[in-house]
Amino acid sequence: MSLSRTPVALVAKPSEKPPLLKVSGLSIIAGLGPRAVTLVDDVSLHIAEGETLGVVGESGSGKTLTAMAVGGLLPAGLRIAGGTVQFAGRNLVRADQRELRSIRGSEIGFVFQDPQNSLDPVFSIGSQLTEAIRAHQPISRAAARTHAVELLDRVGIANAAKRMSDFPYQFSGGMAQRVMMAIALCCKPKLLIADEPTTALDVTMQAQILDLLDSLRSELGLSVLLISHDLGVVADMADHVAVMYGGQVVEHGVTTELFSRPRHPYLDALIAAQPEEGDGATRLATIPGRVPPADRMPVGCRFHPRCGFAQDQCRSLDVPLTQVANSARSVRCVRADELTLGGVDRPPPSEAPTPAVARRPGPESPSSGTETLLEVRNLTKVFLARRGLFGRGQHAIRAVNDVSFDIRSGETVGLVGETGAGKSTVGSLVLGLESPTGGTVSFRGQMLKNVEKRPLSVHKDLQAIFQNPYASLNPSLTVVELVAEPIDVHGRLPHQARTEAVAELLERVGLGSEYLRRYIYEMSGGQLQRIAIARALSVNPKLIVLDEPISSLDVSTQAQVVNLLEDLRDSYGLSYLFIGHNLAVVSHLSDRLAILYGGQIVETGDSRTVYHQPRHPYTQALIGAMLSTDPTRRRTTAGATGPAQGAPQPHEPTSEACVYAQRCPLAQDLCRRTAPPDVTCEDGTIVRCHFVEAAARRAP
Amino acid sequence: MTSVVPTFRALVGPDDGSDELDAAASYGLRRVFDRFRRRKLAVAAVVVVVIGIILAIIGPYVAPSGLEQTFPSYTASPSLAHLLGTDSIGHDELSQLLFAMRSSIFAAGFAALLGAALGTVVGVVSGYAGGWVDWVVGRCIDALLAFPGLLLIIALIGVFGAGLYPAMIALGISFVGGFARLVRGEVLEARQRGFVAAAKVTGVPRRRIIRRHIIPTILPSFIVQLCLTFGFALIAQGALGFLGLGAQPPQTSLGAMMQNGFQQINTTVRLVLIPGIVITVMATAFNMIADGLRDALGRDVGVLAGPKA
Repeated sequence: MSLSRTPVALVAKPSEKPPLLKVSGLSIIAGLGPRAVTLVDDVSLHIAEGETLGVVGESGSGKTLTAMAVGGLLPAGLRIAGGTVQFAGRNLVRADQRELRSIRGSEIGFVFQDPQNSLDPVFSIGSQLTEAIRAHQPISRAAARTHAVELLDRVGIANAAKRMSDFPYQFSGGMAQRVMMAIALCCKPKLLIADEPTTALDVTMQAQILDLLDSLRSELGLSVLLISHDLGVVADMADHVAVMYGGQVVEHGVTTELFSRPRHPYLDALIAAQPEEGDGATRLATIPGRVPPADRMPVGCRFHPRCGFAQDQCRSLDVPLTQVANSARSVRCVRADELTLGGVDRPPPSEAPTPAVARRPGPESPSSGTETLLEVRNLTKVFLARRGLFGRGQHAIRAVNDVSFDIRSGETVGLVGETGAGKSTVGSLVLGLESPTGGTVSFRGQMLKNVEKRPLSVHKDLQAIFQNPYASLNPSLTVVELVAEPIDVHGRLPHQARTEAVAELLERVGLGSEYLRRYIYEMSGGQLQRIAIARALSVNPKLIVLDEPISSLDVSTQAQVVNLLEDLRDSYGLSYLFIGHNLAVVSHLSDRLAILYGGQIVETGDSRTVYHQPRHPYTQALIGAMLSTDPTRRRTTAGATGPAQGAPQPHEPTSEACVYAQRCPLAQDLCRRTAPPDVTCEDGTIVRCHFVEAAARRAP
Repeated sequence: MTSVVPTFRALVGPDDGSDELDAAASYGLRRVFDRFRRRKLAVAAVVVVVIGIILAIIGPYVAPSGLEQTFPSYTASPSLAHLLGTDSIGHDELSQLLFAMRSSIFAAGFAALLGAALGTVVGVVSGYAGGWVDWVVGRCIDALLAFPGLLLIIALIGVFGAGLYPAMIALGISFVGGFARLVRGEVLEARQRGFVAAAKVTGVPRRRIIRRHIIPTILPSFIVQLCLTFGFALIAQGALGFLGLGAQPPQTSLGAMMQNGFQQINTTVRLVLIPGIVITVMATAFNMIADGLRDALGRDVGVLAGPKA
């Protein structure tokens, strides 16, 4: 992990150019009078021409609001209470709406998180793009059209002229984000504000968008204000980074320096919470608690309640952002000088000995034995989609194609894939929420039917936790009712015992009994996911299907929930089917991994082997596209950028080609003609590829 | 692009569950109540409706004279003896009004509740069962809704016979289609919710899913619809009375009073105006309550189902 880094002296030199954007002492408040709440407090940032500033922080840190304020886009009810925003010599805080409107679009471009939401669904992208161009430039419709096609071409949309008449729904997430970038760039802005531009995208798509951003930046001399909760994205792209917490900048400096040697405990903790090593032997570091709401910011250092290094002075003293001597770096921590924090160079926690020994007691442990709990055989699901206005002519989408795997008791199997890979469909099929087109699901030797026709005993042993707890928990019930529902169904308890049982379960997942009478809208995502876990545990299941259980959570909360899942598995001898898109997190928790692409398992095996020696070109692309918080460690985009550059195409049921052939850098005629066989390697990994040998040699 | 802008509540909101939550302020019903209370117009409407209902209940006991009692003065102007004057037969108008309010408000309530109850059962069955059941029920509702409202009611009265309650059964049946369709749509939506799938996976039986998860979820829009229907039922009830299809003499209703007064409309507008104003004010009040409730309930579906003992 120790790679050569750029010498500090070289990058730390302060930029001589006058800053393009200079935010000083910006405060944003909500509400009036004594009830006013400060959401962004005294934030100062600057971006020189051609430079990229990354702003990182968890939700509620004020990073998005800061960006909104720069563009004059603050939502109603919020206002700037102090400070200035100097952009190219003008103070935008004092500018009126007309001036702001002309600056937005012509000098500042915006790209937001969810491209499909930012595009108007009822207009073709061509007309939206042309409109954006003509709003700021007095040119003819025809000229604007020509310019629009050029822009689409520039952002990597194949067949640009033809796609002008397409509507937003005809674009995948990544493609729509490219369109957004074309719109943002249409009037050659000097500054691009990108708010979580890749958060809604798959890893490989993210890598492509970041590459595009990178090339546009150097080609057009753009300055970028990049906002993200993902340390990896920022480490990858930014020259400078500002870390925000509770509405304040807590650390600011040159990216490489900041990540290799963080000085603020918050940044250090965030870095440590990344499950980068894909290593099940160690627990993830977590940050206890979560960001307090803006109206309950603690006195003193805002991070102190969650900080492992807090002392008395942290609890009382308002800490200013102080410049570190002889550098372009500033920190908001009184103990910054005395602390030695690890950063990305920290020793791998507790240097894991030999894998087999260090791992938790696996299937061999006395309690579990080797009973096969779940047996999935040749599972296939074909969705029929209607084509045309009157539904004449259907076409089939093979969402899941011949998927087989086993889960033994005490074992965790991870299912990884991108959007559209069919991983959630596999989850639904196992749970019986969808009925398979072909193949079988058996639980302890018993063939399973649809969810409504399953025996109660199977329901009891097979529980599930879903991605979005706000959707999977009924908002009209209190916590005690939610958690006790399975108990009520599988053997009732008298009222008192029932409440006690729930309180005990809450305790087990790290919540106090004060939550018993709460409703879900009073709780955070992390707390709700704990409720969902308690609910699933309440009837002592054998196997829990976890469908993206942490994807909707904040970074520090993710680590907490992953650790909780790990603890519970070990103490209850549970088995998990863990479905996710984040390879690092899934492999951290799993004994075995199955990589899904286009509805097929393309590689499966021991999770360490798959993670560290990926053999299938797709697995390699997934791992290559992963972002590291170490700015010196670059992702690779080989394989991520296939010629198709699109989302994985649903496999046409008649097609005999390898599902990955379209994007695979190794693809040959054979791959496009015949489906590859499953090749079993000497270590037990099974790879579905014609050229396993060649592919394996490419492994990093 | 507004959707990208985080909402104010998401940024400052107390609803992210920190420990020192102001407990009482945010619990289900209480929260709805707090929001409702801030809508002055809706609160005023509640006051109006409550007064109307109280009058309907106690009316016959406080009325200055009996229902059939007549006085020698016909169409007399308001005086101390007859606060609202007398009608063409010599009834005390105030007493008539109090009796009429009782029968009209009770009858309208009965019709609305009947329609709601039948419609909900049909809607839940249709929406939750799906498949051919849904298809058959759907076509029946279509048929019911295809008739113009008043025509349907008159046809049904032909079946049940005239009279206040037969008319109200007919009116109630005319509400079934609307309720069934609303409830069916809401159930279809609720059925797709994540927590219903989660309940199925846990093995919760169908009836319990409907009772615990579906019904509370559709309750807010159901209640709003019920409130609107009360108002509408009052108007329809008046119309039926006016056509002579409602209460038969000596019973009276607001509509029947208007019908009686209509004959003297050129000389004594008051006799039509008074019952007419009562109907209008009550119906408007119900609508305002419905609006206020809709706003107060917002998208917090299901908050009405409080904690179970």
